Amino acid sequence: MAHSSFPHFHAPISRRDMLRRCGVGLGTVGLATLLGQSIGRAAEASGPLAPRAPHFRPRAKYVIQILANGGPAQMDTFDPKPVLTQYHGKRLPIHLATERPTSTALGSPFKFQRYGQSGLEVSELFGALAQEHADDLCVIRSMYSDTPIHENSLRLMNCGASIMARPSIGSWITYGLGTENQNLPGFVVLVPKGMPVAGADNWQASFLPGAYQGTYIETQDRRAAQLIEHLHNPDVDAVAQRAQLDYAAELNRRHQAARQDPALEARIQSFETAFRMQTAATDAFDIEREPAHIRALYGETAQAKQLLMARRLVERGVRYVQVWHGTLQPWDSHDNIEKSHRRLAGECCQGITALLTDLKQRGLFNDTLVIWGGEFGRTPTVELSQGEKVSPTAGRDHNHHGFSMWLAGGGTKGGIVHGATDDFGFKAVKDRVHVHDLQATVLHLLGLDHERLTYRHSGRDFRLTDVHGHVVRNLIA
Amino acid sequence: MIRPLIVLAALACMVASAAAQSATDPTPDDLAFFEAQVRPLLSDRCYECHGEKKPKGGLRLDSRPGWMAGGDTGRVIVPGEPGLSPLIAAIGYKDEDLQMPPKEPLTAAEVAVLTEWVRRGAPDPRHAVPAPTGRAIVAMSFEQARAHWAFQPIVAPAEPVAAAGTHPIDRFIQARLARESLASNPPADARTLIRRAYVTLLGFPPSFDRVEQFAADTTPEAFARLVDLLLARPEYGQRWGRHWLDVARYSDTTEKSTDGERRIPFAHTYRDYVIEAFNTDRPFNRFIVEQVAADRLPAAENPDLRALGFLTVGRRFEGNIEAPQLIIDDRIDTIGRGVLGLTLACARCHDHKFDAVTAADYYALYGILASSDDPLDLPEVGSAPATDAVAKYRTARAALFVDYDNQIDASTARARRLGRELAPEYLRYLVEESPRHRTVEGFIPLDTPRGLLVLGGAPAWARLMAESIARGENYFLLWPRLLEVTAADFAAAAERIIAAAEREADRHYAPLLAALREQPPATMLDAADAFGRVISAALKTPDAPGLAAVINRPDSPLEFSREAVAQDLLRFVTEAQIVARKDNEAAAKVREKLIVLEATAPVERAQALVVAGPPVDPHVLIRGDRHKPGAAVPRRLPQLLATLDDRSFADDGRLELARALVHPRNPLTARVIVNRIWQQHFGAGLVATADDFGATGERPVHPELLDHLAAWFIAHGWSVKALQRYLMTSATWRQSSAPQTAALTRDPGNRLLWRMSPRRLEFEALRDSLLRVAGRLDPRLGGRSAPLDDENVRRAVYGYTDRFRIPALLRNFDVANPDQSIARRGETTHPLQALYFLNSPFVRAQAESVNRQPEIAERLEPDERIDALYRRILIRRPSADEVALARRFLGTAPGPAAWNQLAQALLLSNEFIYCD
Repeated sequence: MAHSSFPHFHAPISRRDMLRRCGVGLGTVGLATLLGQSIGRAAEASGPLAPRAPHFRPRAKYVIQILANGGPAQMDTFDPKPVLTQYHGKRLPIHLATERPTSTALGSPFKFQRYGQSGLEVSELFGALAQEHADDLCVIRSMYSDTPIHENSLRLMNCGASIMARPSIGSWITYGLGTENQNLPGFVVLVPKGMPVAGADNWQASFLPGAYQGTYIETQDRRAAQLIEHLHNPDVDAVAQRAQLDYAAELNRRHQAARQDPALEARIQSFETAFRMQTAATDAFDIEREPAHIRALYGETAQAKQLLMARRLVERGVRYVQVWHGTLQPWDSHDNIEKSHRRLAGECCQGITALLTDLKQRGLFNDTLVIWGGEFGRTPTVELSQGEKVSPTAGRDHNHHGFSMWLAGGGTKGGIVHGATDDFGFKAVKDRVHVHDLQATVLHLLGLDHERLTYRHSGRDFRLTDVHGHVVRNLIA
Repeated sequence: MIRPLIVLAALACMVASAAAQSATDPTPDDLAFFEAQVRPLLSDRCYECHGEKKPKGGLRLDSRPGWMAGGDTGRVIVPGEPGLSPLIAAIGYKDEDLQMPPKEPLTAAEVAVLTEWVRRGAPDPRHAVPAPTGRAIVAMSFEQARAHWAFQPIVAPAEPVAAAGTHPIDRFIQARLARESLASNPPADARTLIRRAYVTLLGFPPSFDRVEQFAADTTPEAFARLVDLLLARPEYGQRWGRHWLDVARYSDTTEKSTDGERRIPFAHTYRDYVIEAFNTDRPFNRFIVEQVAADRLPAAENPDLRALGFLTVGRRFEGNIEAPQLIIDDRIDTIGRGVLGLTLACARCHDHKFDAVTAADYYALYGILASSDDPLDLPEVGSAPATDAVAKYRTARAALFVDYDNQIDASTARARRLGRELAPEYLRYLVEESPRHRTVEGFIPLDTPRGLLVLGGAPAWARLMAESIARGENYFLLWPRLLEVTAADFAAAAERIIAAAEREADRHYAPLLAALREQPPATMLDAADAFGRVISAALKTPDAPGLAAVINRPDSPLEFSREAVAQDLLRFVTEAQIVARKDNEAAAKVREKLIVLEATAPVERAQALVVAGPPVDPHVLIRGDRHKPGAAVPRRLPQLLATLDDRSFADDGRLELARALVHPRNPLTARVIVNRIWQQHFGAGLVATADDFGATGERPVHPELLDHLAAWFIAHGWSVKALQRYLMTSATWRQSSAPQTAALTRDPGNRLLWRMSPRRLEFEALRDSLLRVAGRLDPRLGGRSAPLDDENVRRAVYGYTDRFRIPALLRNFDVANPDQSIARRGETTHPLQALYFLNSPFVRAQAESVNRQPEIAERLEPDERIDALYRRILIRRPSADEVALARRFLGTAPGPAAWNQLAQALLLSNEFIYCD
């Protein structure tokens, strides 16, 4: 199973070509472990998605990245700010530039409470999550990013570069590690419907081979068999299709006999894998196959169903699952933060809680790194309406100066808070964690050195963290 | 010679010699001075930041080559000239922007030591650069970097000796193979050869009858005739145009990522231009000149403006504050990698680490390209019919331009009005901006009780006041004096200033003195309020002479120009915004309406550029940071090309750049395009990195052949078709692709071309081929793009390319990412591709369509029908064995479903999508 898909090579390809084509950068430290393998074995098991050894012992094998896209407000979720409440309605002593003009302080309308043995303070929006999992969460309150623009910050968060087209983190990780189930894509992207802001940039392979591109799946109102494009042929049953494949395989074997080209063999194998994928993928994406109590645990929202699907995928060896809250930028509460944030948290809190519970009860929690957060946070000040007259509404603008994210499982420390923002939640001031630092840490947890995972393109070696990023040791258990 | 040095990783032994050449011999006295006083000082106070570990500002002071190479701002020490040495200015804290060491200044004695050292000529025995982490750094001069092979003139080398009549290409290939004790393959058979020629030149297979006709033609000129016929067919341009569109990062949309309007309404006219250029064999030098500067060519040359899409169909970086710079960067990168095979864009932030390209070169090019704008009013091309639809379109379009003009007028009027009305708030803003009087930390809030400020407002007021004072007027005389006072004792100091002014009251503006007296200011903000009240009062009687007249002068900074407003309306985020956000949005709505109209216009326009205003005078930006302008550079060619044209351009210089790109003595362009064409014929380029001929690229596997071809190409009028004919008539191209056991071991990648490399059809050729054998391919030329849905039977080159939503299908098949110039597509094989062949409605529909073709549908006898299917799809007859195999698959009395399954199996077979 693990050997069933091959990149295309001209025969018999040189070792150099082989490594390059299966996505291993040359002239770089690259994947030293693979280089150490005998060429025969490497070629045999070197489909672009074949599992590969990490640089060092990994803490996590899989990633589920939950994107609260649009930017959840830290002071309304995981970063309590009593001082901000005291300033409510008044001008703060500090003011920072964000995307739009903002004005006076807006205290959080939500109540915070301490949970668990760790006493982690979380707002009522994610109270249910904290109730069950406060001691599992590794909360980073000192995240910061480069710009208050959705597209740029999403690209930075997912691809390590805010402007240029660069491979996404899921692509880098599948390039580095392959994936464990050759009958499923290695990098899956779940969106209820439509596209988030910055679209396919968020899961692009860019200059990495196309096989590392995230497989984008719209999950809402679709049956499992329809989720992956062309997964089923309505006109042919499995028996007839098997017969057709056997016939084609025979034609291909005759064609291959005179040519001795592994590329041809690779394509033959890809049909066999595709045939199995039809069953395997239908099964993996079909949450109806879960028992009723598990489905009830997650809940009925589009977000909850995706989280259940994500668990089914990592359980089957999918390396990286990106789970988007919704199309465009749902968490972008420029006005009426109380109503919008309450609704948004209501859509996902139960599902996220269930996911952590479910991963734990299946023994997957330690192997699976769960990441939650948006592309940035929100201002402690009210955003002004677009007019020239000041008319405050109860909403917040984007804020890249400071925001919160959390990690869970996958070798992270539970029940801790790392870093802090100022008294108002405007700016990260203590133990600041840049997005590149988070990315370096995620790669590290997967056993990859972010400085060694490189790819030669356009005359130089690229990496996810560009020339930045430091592993945040305090997050690691 | 003042010239930036290029730092290269190389052998340590080169260090001493390189540095020694440039060092003057220090006297023993100088050396003693250095060791006793200078070295300890540098070591204690400078190395921490300017040593081997991440040197700040790119500057190292721990070696002579280090300071000689300078930092990001250029050179720091001019030996013998302390007054000209920025380092001395910095340690003297003379320059506000650069004071070193930043926290604790050197003592006067220490400054004197370093000044004396520089005065003595900066004697320094530290020639070797300490090596960081095991690697040595060598300072390589520009001249050394330009010694790289690709920058040397193209000189046609002597052809290796071979039997008379041997094709020159074969002479080079054979000579090399012989040296490696390898031999090339015998010629491919006629059937293989014609399929290869069709796939290479047209992108789909020939018909069975055509193959038979060719196989029967045994005249010696048969193959050359075939090549000429194929090169003359319109489908040739559709195939070869696509290769160039990968280089040009062609797309029908910008990358705007919400579901808003993002079409580039006439991108397709560029695509059509490219296809026509290949079909008409436009000389490649002309092709490049038009794509870079068609609008700058004299009208007599009848330039084709559509060509400018090469520059304009890239990304627009909307929502980025740096969008204007990024758009130009994208264009520099496309010209650099696309035409010159140089990663020029690396020099945006620093001198190129490996190639002879400096940051100054980058910004010189930046000045050339940034001197042009993308106009809203795109020029019409071709001749539109005089239909009602066209007339209606023109009326609607004209109305939108009137709307847009009105919007600019309204925005201009509003900007001017608000600039005056909010004068008190802008003065307060200026107070907040001053280091002495600011009361808020961070960003100064733009919201005020009377309305929102714009970032461009306060600077306009600052300028207005300064200009008034400079004219000798008295209205704002007290402003700078008050602003100078420190906040701590403001009230008392202000009182003294006001009292002093009252003593010479006739020299001051009475209403202001009255206002300051009425409410004596306790803070600078109070003072600003007094000015504000006086200004507001004056503006209530605008016709009166005096202050109002000053504010309303025609050259007042508050008289925002219509042009400046128009520019501002184009950008959502800027740092000197002068229009309100809602004006911006209103203008964007009109522009969007225009795009919607243009995207279905019944006329054709070019995505052209115009040179409207005065050309841009570029500055180097230190580390690419627009807030850190360095030295001014003229608009000129990169130094590497200065031997072709070393002028500084008085005009924008884009035409001169275009001409230099294709100058016969340009060492790169011809080599690069010849290599790209070679790559498309042989599967890999002679230089494997087709867009990087620099030091980090691969070296050519056959350097002499590359130069032979480049020289031949220039000598043959840059004719792409002639070159292709030249390549294809070589024995090297015509040889078989059969494997040779020994050669597979010696040269598994076939870099030496001992056989023809087998190739797989790319996505477009694959889709076109499926439609072709299904009898459905629509070969029409030109027109607007349409999505490649299942009903679309046009050639894939006409598919709609949406940067924001690249269909997964295309990425699965390695179609070029349109966000940047692509030199070579990936070629992966994975199961998602297989699912497409097995299950997609499109492939199934083609299988059914094949079976509907009369030559197949009319065959009732199964063996005959199998024979017909083989001829149609695999362009050959099946063996008896293959017929039997198919019969077994079909079973007895096969129905239409079984026949469709059989046809589909042939369509998804390796034989169909690989070409020998």
